[in-house]
Formats: sequence, C-alpha cells, structure tokens
Amino acid sequence: MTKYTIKRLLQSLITVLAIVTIVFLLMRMLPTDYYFTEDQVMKLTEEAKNDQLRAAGLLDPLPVQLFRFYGRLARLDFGTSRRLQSGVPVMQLISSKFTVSMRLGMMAMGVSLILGILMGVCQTLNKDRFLDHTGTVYTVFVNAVPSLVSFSLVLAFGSRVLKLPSMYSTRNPGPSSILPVVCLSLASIASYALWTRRYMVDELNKDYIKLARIKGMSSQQIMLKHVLKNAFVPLVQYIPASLLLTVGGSLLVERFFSVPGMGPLMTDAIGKYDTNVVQACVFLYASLGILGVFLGDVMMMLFDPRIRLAEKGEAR
Amino acid sequence: MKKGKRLLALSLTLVMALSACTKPSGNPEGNGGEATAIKDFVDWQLQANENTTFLLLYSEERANSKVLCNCYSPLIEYDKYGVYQPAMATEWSHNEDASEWTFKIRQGIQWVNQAGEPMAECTAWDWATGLEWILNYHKNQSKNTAMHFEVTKGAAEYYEYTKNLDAEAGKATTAKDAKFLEMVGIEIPDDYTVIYKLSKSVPYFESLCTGACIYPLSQAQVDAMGVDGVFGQQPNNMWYNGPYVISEYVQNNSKIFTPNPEYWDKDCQLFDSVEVKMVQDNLTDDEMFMNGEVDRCELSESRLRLIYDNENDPNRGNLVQPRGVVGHSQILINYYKNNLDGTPDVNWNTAIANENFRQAIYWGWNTRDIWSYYNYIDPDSMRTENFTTEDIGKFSDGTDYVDRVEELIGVDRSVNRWESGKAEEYIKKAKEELSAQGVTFPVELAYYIKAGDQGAQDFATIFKNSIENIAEDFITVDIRTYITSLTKEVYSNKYQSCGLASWAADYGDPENFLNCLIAGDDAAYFGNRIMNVNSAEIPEIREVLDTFSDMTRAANMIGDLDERYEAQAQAEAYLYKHAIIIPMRLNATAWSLTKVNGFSTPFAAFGIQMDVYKNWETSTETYSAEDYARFEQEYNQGK
Repeated sequence: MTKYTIKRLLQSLITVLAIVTIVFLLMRMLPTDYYFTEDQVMKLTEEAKNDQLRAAGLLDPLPVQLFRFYGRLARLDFGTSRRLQSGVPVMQLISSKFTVSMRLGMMAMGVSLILGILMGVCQTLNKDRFLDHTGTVYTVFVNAVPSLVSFSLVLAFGSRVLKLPSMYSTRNPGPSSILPVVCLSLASIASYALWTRRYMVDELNKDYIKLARIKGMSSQQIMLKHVLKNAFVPLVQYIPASLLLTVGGSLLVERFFSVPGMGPLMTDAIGKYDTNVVQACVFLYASLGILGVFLGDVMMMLFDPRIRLAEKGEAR
Repeated sequence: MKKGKRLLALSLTLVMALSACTKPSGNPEGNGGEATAIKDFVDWQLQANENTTFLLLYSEERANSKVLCNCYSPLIEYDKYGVYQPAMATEWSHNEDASEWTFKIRQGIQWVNQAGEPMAECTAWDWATGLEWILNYHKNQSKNTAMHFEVTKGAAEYYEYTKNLDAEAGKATTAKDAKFLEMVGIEIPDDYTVIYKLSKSVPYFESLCTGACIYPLSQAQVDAMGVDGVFGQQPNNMWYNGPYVISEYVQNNSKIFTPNPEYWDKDCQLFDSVEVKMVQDNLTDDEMFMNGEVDRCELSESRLRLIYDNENDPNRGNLVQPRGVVGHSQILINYYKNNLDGTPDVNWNTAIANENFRQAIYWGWNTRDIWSYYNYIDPDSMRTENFTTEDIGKFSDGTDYVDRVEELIGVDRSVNRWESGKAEEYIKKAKEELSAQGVTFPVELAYYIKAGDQGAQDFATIFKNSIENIAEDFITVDIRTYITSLTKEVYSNKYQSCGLASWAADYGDPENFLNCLIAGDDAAYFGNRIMNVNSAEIPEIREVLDTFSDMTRAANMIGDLDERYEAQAQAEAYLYKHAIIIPMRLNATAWSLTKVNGFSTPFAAFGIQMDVYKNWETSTETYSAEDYARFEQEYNQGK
C-alpha cells in the first residue's frame, strides 16, 4: 500500500510538472502583442511595448524564463498578476477566491448527494411508477434545457416570488448563496439520482439478492445492507475529485450570480493573457485533479473489499 | 457564449413577459411628492469592467478611473456644466503664453487609509511624486507617459535617464532627488505651491489636470509600502484623498464606497454609502432595477422594445436618456489594405484613393437603419456630421467649436446627406474614372466582427445592407470574423477595409481628436493602426492626407485660442470635404430607468471625473420622462 502510494504520488508530481511546463511554453509561443490590451496595442509605440515587456522579464531568453519559473514554482511563488489585478501577488488573488468557491461547492455537493441519492433510492423503490417517472422527467429536463435557461428560471422565481437576492453578496452570504447553490445542484442532483437508480436496479436483478429474498431477508434490509451499499461503490470513486474540484468553482453559475469565486478566473486570465495567473490556475487544477483521482482509488479500496483482496492476491 | 447570451436574453424576455403583471419598482406616475434623496446609492457595473488596478497613475482605462476618481482628488475638477472649480488647488494661474502653470495647494488636507484614519498631509510634493512615478521607467511600466512627453519639459529625457538605471536604483529615486528637479519641468517652491513648466504653450492645461496623468501620490505611502506594494495596491492598503474610501471590495462582486472623513469639500453632497454591484451582462441590471436592487439601469434592446411597444407598461413614461454624447462614431477608412495573403489589395486601395468614390459613400450612405439599431425610440437624434465632441472648446464669443466645423462644411440640418441627391453624380464619376484604372466593381469592402458575437453579426448585417444600397454594383461588403483580438489579428495585418470607431477625449482641445488621424506621428492612434495613413502610396490620397496633417500640425502650434480653434476647425472640415473619414452616428447614452438626475452629475467632454459620486441629485422614486424634460430645461437655463 505504501509503495503503491509513493509510486502514484511521484507519477502525479511528474504529470503536474509536465502540464505546467507545456502550458508555460505554449503561452510563450503567442505573439507578444497578446500581453497588451486592445487599447495599448493601438496606443503604444513599439518602443514603449518593448520597454514594458523588458521590465516584466518577458524578453529574456526562454530557458532563462523557464528556470526562473521553476525556481518560483518550488517556492509556490507565481509572481504578480499582470492584467487582471496589476501588481497583486497571484497567490493573494487566488486565495481570496477559492474559499468562496469551495464553500458554495461543498454546500451544493452536500445538497446534491443527499437529494440525488434519496431521489435515486425513491425512484428504485417505486420503479415504473409515478415517482420514478417524475424523477426521470426532472433528469431529462435538467439535461435537455440549456443551463442558462434553467438558471434564468431559478433566478426569476427566486428573486421575484421568493424575494431572494439575485446576486451573491459577501455582506449577506446566507440568503444570497441560496440561488447559486440551487443552480450548482440542479445538474448533479439529476446525475446522482440517475446513477444511484441505475446501479441499484442492476444490483436488484443480481442472484445474491434473489437468494437473500429466498432466505427471508426483509426488503428494507436487502436495500440498506446490500443494494444501496453495493450501488454506492461505483459512485464513491468520483466523490473526492468532485469535492476537490469545488475549489475550481463554476464558470457559469459564478458569472451568473456574480460570485467572487475561482470559476471565471482561469478563462479571464487566458482572455487577458495574464500568464502568471494562468500558470497558477493550471498548476492548481492539475494538482487537484490528479489528487482527486488518487484519493478516488483509495476510497474504492476502502469501500470495496474485492479490490483489497485482489491487491493482496497480487502481492502474494 | 454568445449563443448563451441569446438564450439568456430569450429566457429573460420570457420571464419578463410572465412577470409583467408583478408590481414594478419605482413610481410609474413619476417623481411624486413623497420621494426623498437616496442616502445609500446602489449602482452597477459590468464584470468585464472590473478594476485591473487601484493605482490611478497606472490607469489608462475608464473601467479603472471610474472607480478611482472617487478615491483621489485632483488639482481642479469640473462641475455639472463642465466649468473648472477649485479642488486640491485653491487657485491657479499661468504665464502669458500658458507654458508655465502655478497651483496653490489647499493646506491641512490629510491622506487617509481605508478606515479613514489620517496618514500624512497632502502637499505640493505629492504632485511631484506622482509625476516622478509616471516618468520613472521602473515604477509605472510606461503608463500615462505620452501626455507628459508631449507637454512637460524634460519628461522624455527623465524617462530615458531612469531607463538606464538598474531596477533597485530606479525604484529608490524620489521627487526630491536633485536629478529629477533639475531635469523635469516641475518646481515646488514651498509645500503648498506646485509649478508645471511646459515645453510649449498649453492653453488647455486645466483640462489635462482632470486626467489621470496629473494626480498626486504620497511619498510617505511609497516609503511605507515600497514601490512594488504601491504598484499592486488594493483598497485595503491604499491611501485616499478623494471624496470616498473603498471600505469593502470583493473582486467581480461589489465595491462599497463610504465618505472620506478628511475630504476637503465639507459642503458637498455625498452619499452615506455607494455600493457598486458587478453584473454579468447588460440584461442583468434591468432585472435588478425591476427588483429594486439597483438605483439605475441602462435598458437592453429587448427590454427597451418590450417597454416602449406596450403602451400600458408602467415604466413607459419613465424612459429617459440620462445625458450626454460621449463620442461620434465614424468609418475610418484604411488607405493601405492588404489581402489575406499579405499582398496589397490593389482594387480597394485604388478605389478608396479616388475622391469621387469616397464622396459617393459620404453622400450616398443611408445610415438611418444603423441609427435605429442604436436608438429604437429616437433614431434621428443619432445624426452626426463630425468627429470632435461638443464642449471640447469654445470661441470667445461662445460659439462651440463643433458648430463652427459644421458651418465650414455647410451642413444642412433639414436634410440628411443621402437625401441631398449629390451621390449619383459622384457614383457615376467614380465608376468612369476607376473603371479606366482597371478597378473592378462592385468593390469589395472587408468588415470584421468577432466570431460568435450575435450582436456584432446583427449590426454587420445592417451595415452591409446600408453600404450595398448606396448603388447597385458599386460596393459589396464581405463580413469576416476574427477570433479574439481585432487589433492583433486584423489591424496589425491591415486586412480591414475600414474600422468603425469613436474617440473619447483625454483633455479639452480639438487636437486630442485630430492628432489621432494625422500622418507622420507614431502616436496617431487611428491614423497608424486603422487607417494606415503613413502607408498610402497613391499620390491622389497621399496629397489629401498630408494636407490634412499639415493643417492640423500648424493649427496645434497656435497659442491664441480663437485662432487655434479656427485653424483646427478648418482642418477638421477638410476631413469631411474630402471624405477622409465618414461620420456614422452619435454615441449617446442608453435609454434608462433611473433614480438619478443625470443633469446634476459632473460632466465634461474629457477627463475622468464624470463618475465621481458628488453632488448627485437623486430620488427614492424613479424619475419620469417629464421630470427629465424639466431637468434638461433647468440645466440649459443654468448653463
């Protein structure tokens, strides 16, 4: 287990390093005009542009820039933002945002897990009956209707009828979080419900369930001890990644409700060619994504005894 | 994303329609007797316009200065009529040829921190520090240098001097260093007097003082935070001497301004607080206004049509255009266009060099559909005949510079250009002359829009139709797309046949507009980047462009204001007489629902102070169109 963990961590480290290096090199391949706003490109003389680039170290030879980047990366220093918030350290920019995204994301995930799994269980228990069909209609609706439309409907209903704030506010984080959390949860409730139902129905048709029935176990016991537990195993491996990636926020929801989170940060940084911010975001997302997959595997091992047995067998 | 915007617009329209029966915000009957002034004002701003810096001296974009003008106080400011008023300078004067300006600084005014606690006194040295900061290569990344290079003695030389210093030495220099005071045209005889020594006669220097390049910076703050700290300052650690401090700031969400307890103007009217909410797009502010979450909104086209077309809509009587023409949009013709393979587009370049071809566009282009696109209710108010905005300069007899330009062109306000019947003759001549030169008709005009931008696509279709309607088989418009950057992908490669653009003035002199277009000047913003006036080769157009440039340069050298304006008006009239650029429309403010009297706010055709939340008249109830008519009348009388 320890050897496996160390090996996976080393692989992850190399992967992250490769990703950030590729992104660094790709960004340096774009013409230098992209470091400037439209207005600056129009206004500045070539000399003035070169002065600015030189001052920012962007005219140094590529290997010099790359090794400077590695040196800073080792200290987790991503430099300062050039375009989004001129002169502000990137880590300061990110740290002010990820807590907001994470808090909303965690709330949405909690809501989705509880409601989604409950909905999936209810659908399974009422298979091919009204409740099941209602759940299916919800799932189809959420997946078929473009997010912007469903968000607009949530916004209109929430703000007009329920009088909830239509914009996230740090002064009033409780009520103003409700609509963003609802929107963040809409799709994942449907997703958890869909997969819970599917895995539970699969389990219900298996022979060991029939045997349990024959042995006289109650339906409630079968559902809780066998069906739900086994159906939960495939879902569990995605939970750590989903949880960690809440840090990344949601581009759409955060823009829609003006949530000051991580969601739009990377696209804004790419749009404005703020290289330091892009590199920091790529590093963060790559690290979290890889860590999420790794933790998912560990969770699978913890939840599914067959995986542990297989590993032991392999070790022998 | 643009498709998404369309969906959003569609769904919001649906929601609007469904909720039409709900009670609207504000007072549909207009501003009744119960209304009172707003104490806690709530404004909005697009997320795309979030601040990229909190250092005003580094700011060159309105999105930044719009916020920061509330945090810093300049030497002088303008009021709602655009008249200069004392601010941090109690009085000012200049020498005979306006090349030396002296300002007396208000005494005892403190810089404060975010909590409103005094940090240091604001003295004349702070303007010297501000100037040193801008001109120092190591401190401000060359931002806001252009104006000083143009007018301040020794500015360019000092910039070059600091460029040769290493970063540490460059950052260590201050305004009190002998080298700076020796090289640069600024003198601080005592703590409350600042003298600017200029390289030429600058009669419009007062207007420069309302721009970002002449604002103060406290050396005490630089000493406390270091150069890098000041460069990356945020609302929580910046120092303020303006009417407000930013007491709360959450990026892409909100800013809250509260009055600065040490602000010099104790008699002015400030809000108890101003909250600026950052919204995703210009549909959201409409919705928020209807919900009572903001105190004004600029109506999106769909919402405007919905309200205006429904005679029973309670907000129909409240539709107003707050105030102001913020520019005039033009067709800026490219006189040296390239094909996509990088070779010169001979067909276009030859055609556009022909005066009759350009005059045919000038006189034959029916822009009414374009006006309607931008102003659904009153399209004819979008008519424009010139490039320079009103109030940029006035002759001593009170005549506005723009009126003089129109007089020189011979504008007939009773008919539109395309109704004059002059186009046919020009079209006929252009076809004859150009066909003889081998130009093929219809001449293709390449017009670029951003890929996936539905709004741009809609406009481009109207533009295409209007241009192609000038005459059959005369011009055809090819709508092409770029991915992210018009300047970087299109203008840099000279692929465009024209650009549609307007100019917002930095200071109060017509040269600010005319210099954008001239040949032989690296800083000519439009001339170099869009019109390629330096590259035009065909003698016929070369002569016209050079004549205009020479006229402008000569006019800019004149110190006497009346003579200067007359010469500049002659140069600008020459632009239209030879159809070098083609006027298209006014950039008027959008139709709005508002609780702000738009005629009470600071206003001028230049500078950064239009957005200062000072002396605003507001009402807790939405103003009606009738209220606005009264405000306008009172304003014009007061003016």
